Amino acid sequence: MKTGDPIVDRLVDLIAKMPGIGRKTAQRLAFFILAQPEPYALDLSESIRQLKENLRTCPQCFNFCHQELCSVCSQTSRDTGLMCVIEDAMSLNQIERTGHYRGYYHVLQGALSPIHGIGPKELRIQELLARLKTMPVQEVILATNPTLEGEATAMYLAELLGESGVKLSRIGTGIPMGGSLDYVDEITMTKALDNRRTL
Amino acid sequence: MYLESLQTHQFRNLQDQRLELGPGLTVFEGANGQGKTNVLEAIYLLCTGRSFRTHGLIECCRNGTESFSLSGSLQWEPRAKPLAVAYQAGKLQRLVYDTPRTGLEYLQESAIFAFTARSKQLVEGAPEERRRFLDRLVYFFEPHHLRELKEHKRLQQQIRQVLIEQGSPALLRSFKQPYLTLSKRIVGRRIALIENLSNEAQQLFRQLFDFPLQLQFTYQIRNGSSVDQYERQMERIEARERLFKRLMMGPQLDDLSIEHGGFPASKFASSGQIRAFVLSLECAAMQRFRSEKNTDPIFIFDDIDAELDLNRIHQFCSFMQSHGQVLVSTSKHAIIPANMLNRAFFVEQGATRLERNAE
Repeated sequence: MKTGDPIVDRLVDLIAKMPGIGRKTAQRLAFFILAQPEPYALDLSESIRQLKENLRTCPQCFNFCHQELCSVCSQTSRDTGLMCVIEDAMSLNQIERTGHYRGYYHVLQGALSPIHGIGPKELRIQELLARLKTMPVQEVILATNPTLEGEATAMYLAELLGESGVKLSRIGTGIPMGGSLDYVDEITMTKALDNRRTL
Repeated sequence: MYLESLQTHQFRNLQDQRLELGPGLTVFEGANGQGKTNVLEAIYLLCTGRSFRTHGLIECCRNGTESFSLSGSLQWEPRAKPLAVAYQAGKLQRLVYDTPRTGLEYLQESAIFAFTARSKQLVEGAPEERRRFLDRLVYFFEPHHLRELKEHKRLQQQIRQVLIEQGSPALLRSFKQPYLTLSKRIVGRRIALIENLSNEAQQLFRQLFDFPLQLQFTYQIRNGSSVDQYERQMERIEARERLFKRLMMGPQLDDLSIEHGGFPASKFASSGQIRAFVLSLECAAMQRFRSEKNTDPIFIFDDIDAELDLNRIHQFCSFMQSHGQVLVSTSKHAIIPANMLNRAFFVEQGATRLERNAE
């Protein structure tokens, strides 16, 4: 599905590499950019350039940051007894948006997936172990995604951290708030029942 | 449940046309190679988003074209819903009320059972055919089964990779634990289905096809004996799995043994008997579907006259008369008595002509 124009096709190829975007959507986005006034396209390319030039990885939690430490690690008022382990910076943003969690984070930068060449060494697991030795962490919340790979990563970490004496917990999964039981699929319902709590 | 209409466009050798269908027994008659099976395939594809003949849907496009579309209206109380599938540029789009659906979502919009040339593979084919057959039947009663099979397959791939790379025991365990849980669930469902349908299938086998010998279905767990012992048996086999770098236990390795009169059906049964086994099992599943969902699924029977004698065909049709929408094809004119038929179409060179309508 080529447009015939090498410049447009190159942009389509690049956009189509993004997650969740197929060639058809990539083409639509490319033509959208083409139809916009020039400053929009320049702004877009400049912000992508800046993203790569000015953002780097936080040496403590592996979230992205502008300065030496990320916006979370630089806050000294947070609860040092809590550590939330997540797959990527997007999950961090989601949790931060709630304003409910006051501990620190550790971004693994992925989940275990041997078929994609991602084993324990490819994740920031050693760095997590090192942090746990230096910080007075009392509870580690394993908040990897409830996918096959995310669950396997949580299970792997649970075994690894099992003897460290620190309390381990897994983020809850089940029925979304405001949702009706009528529309919940069987797997989610099973999870919700497995993860039920005593009142 | 029944398909009220079918509209075809550039589908195999079929002329672009609209068929008005309805409940009861419908027959598509015509000489070989005229398009009878194509009509049934179009109905099956419209209801499931899958073909019963091929995985490469490009084969379904009329010669010289690269796209096709099918649409129709499915009556499932309390109302009719429009279904459509459109194949273009190598992709199949599935629509319900003009809204796109994923493959798994679309499958749940209707229920269709099919007996085709491939169905005999249940007895004659490789274990994979029997597993696929079981999973298809389980799916009708527990739709999330297919999603779990998909997850299970992904887990197999991950574990295989860990075994090949000789990953740490902890890494293997982190994938093996969910693998075990899912395996037990999948095997448990398959066994429950077989136990549930066995007696019914046995009865139908005698009642419809008049074969006196005992029919026996037994689920065989590879390297294991029962679901209760699954965990222990899987632990026992782990060292060998590490040595040979492959999984040696799991639902993807199991089989279904079918015996007739105490002997393996694949070796000792006639072609007609094999047809009868599969039909009995399908009919038992349809009976259960009816009692659980309060509606009959659609049933497709390609080449009803092949290998079954006239008496058994009549017995079968008489039984199916009261089972919702049944669509059959045959190359032999008037093989089904007119009083059993609701509708008869004549198929010639891809054109379908209504010959008889009892309504």
